[in-house]
Amino acid sequence: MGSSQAILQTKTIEVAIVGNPNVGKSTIFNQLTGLKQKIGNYPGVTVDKTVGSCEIKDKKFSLIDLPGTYSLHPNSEDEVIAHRVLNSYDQSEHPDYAMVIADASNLERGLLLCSQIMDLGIPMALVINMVDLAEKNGIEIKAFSLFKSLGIPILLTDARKPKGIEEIKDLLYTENFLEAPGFIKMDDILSETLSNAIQSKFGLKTSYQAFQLLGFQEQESILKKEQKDWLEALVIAHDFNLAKAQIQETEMRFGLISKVLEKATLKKPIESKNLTRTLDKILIHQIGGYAVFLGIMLVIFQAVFSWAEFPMDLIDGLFANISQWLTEHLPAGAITSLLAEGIVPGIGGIMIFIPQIALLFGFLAILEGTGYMSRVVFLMDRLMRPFGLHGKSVVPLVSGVACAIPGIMATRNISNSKERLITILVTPFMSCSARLPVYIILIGLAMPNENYGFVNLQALTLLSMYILGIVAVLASAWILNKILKTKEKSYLIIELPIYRIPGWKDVLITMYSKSKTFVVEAGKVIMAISIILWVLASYGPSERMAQLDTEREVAIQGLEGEALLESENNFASKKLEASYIGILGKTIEPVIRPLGYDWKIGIALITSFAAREVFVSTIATIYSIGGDVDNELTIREKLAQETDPITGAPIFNTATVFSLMVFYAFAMQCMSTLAVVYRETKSWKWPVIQTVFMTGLAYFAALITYQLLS
Amino acid sequence: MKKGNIGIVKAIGDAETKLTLMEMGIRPGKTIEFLNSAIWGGPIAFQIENNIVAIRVSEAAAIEIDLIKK
Repeated sequence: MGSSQAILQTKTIEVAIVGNPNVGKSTIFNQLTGLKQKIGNYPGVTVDKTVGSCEIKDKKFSLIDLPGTYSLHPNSEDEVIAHRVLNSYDQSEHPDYAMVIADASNLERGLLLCSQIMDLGIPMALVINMVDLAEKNGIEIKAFSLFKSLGIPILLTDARKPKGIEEIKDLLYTENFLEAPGFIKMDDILSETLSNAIQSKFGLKTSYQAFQLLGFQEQESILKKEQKDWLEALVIAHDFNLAKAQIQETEMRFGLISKVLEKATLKKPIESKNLTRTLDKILIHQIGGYAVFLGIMLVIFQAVFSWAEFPMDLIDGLFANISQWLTEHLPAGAITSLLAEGIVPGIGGIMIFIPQIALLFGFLAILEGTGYMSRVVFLMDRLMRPFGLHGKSVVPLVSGVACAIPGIMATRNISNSKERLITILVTPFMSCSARLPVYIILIGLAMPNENYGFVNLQALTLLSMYILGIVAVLASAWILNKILKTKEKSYLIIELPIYRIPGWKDVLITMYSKSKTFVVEAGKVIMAISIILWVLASYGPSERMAQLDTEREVAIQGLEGEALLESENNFASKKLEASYIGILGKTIEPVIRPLGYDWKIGIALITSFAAREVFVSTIATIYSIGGDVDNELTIREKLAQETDPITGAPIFNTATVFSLMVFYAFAMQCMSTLAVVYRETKSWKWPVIQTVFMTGLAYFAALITYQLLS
Repeated sequence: MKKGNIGIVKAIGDAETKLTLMEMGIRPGKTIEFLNSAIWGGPIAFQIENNIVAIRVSEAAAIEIDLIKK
């Protein structure tokens, strides 16, 4: 028996956590698992799969955080996932238990979902959360009465308090989960013959599982074609009306739930001051609401940019130092060069964005945690609709100011596929943080650092670039809305939850997980491209390269200090010109000439495909500025002095600079974003269309800008 | 319905969103209080029991209401 005991002890117990939105589900999940969370994918859908592990005394638990849903009816992919996991259709997930979380102030709605899970037949327990708040509002819940009516373990608690979490841990540790007796009589909804046929074909335990399978067959991508056809034929043969049956089911459930709650809850009418309604008088006001939203956005962006500056400088300096150290301490050669000039700057180029992304998502998590985010959806829905967007498109677009990647991933909760697709396609027009260093260099070249009245001209130009991005978002969304067709109805039914203090641990975990997602998603692509670009920039047709090497040997002999540096920079520039990437730049020169660019800028355009901000370092190398790349003033001065070898006119004239800024505002130059768009739309069609449209627009807009200004 | 109006839900007509509306707690017999609407005929927010729910005017059209306080 000893060996079987050992097996029992090491077995991980899988528990699925389910509940309505805004019931404190993620707080419970975060408190239990902390950073021991893994985000993965469910096959066939785009919902994040969040699994966390936790140990309580000698037992190991694996907790599956299911997306918040109001029911197990297929309204969106979230429900499909809840349904799939709770029925163990997915081969990788077989939860032993379901822990249902409900809001004590909203028991009726919570019990709808709970009763559906009861009918699935999985062992479960009901955690009634936020009891303190309900008591304050005069709602008293009798746990024993509920237990008697439902037949499942009930825990009344407040998970915001340490005691509440301990109680939940106890529940898990004692594995106090019971298989519920059925809640509703299924015979009235699904005939026994129909139910038996499905149950035996798919090996299902309960009649409700059979009913659920009928409801989900269309959306459930892991069912086989023949299985779907079989179900379809069955539905037709029995003349079964699914939509009607679902409404009937819901009515039956609510009927029974009212009876249960009549016995189990006491309501004392308490005239309490309602903070949420007082705040909402301003926050969702027809004018005040918008003013507050605009104010909040301005404060957030101001904070993100100013607070992120210091850590970004640190990261920048750190990676520059690592590169320098490697060059000095490792034997010279291709490997060292790859490390110091390809890989390390590549990693640095990813890391530098973490402060802005973490800060922006920290603020968004605070807005979400307070309950304000739903108000933003409410306020913005009408303004977004003419452009084919949804109120929920605001969050992806705002995220796009830091980086389009987490923004595009945040489109997942937009249920209408057309609105979601438009949001995905236009989000990259938002001015992301990679464009900022490019704009700053270019604006410095074109605009004097002077005040016009109270307004700083450079700041005004930068602001215009951000507005240009927003205009591009709205205009292209408007066009896409005219072109794309859908039969799906767009709707908005959203709860505006009560205002509360956000859970700070939840905010920190969001900041961490969003940054991690960015590093993983963008990282692998930026890394790969950095290496490819390094190869293209370091190697060229061997004859010319060898010749340059010999010339360099001769030229630097006897040189010291400034002169040596200048000569080295000069040769670095010449080598770049002779490299494959230099050849590429010269090849595209005829195409970009009308925009006011020479082949050197062409090279920078190509390297920008790794990430837009690479423009700055490429320009620095190719104009043989070398040395202190971070000193923007040096780059600006040098660039301002650059002249055309034939005409003698300055290259970075106002027309070229503005044309470049417009190009960077519109062009699709981010491979990482394209990779994410591919994954979210599950086809190459959309990333290709997006690239052609955005880059085409960039080309013509830059062309017009240059021709008008020159 | 106007701001400050209170009514009782009489019925929900046949609409694609009927099930979702029911799941959000909008069901016959419930007291509903109009709170606010967003600009230019945007979504409307109302209190239903302990919750505030926002829906578009097009969804609201399916809900029949008996006004009890104007």
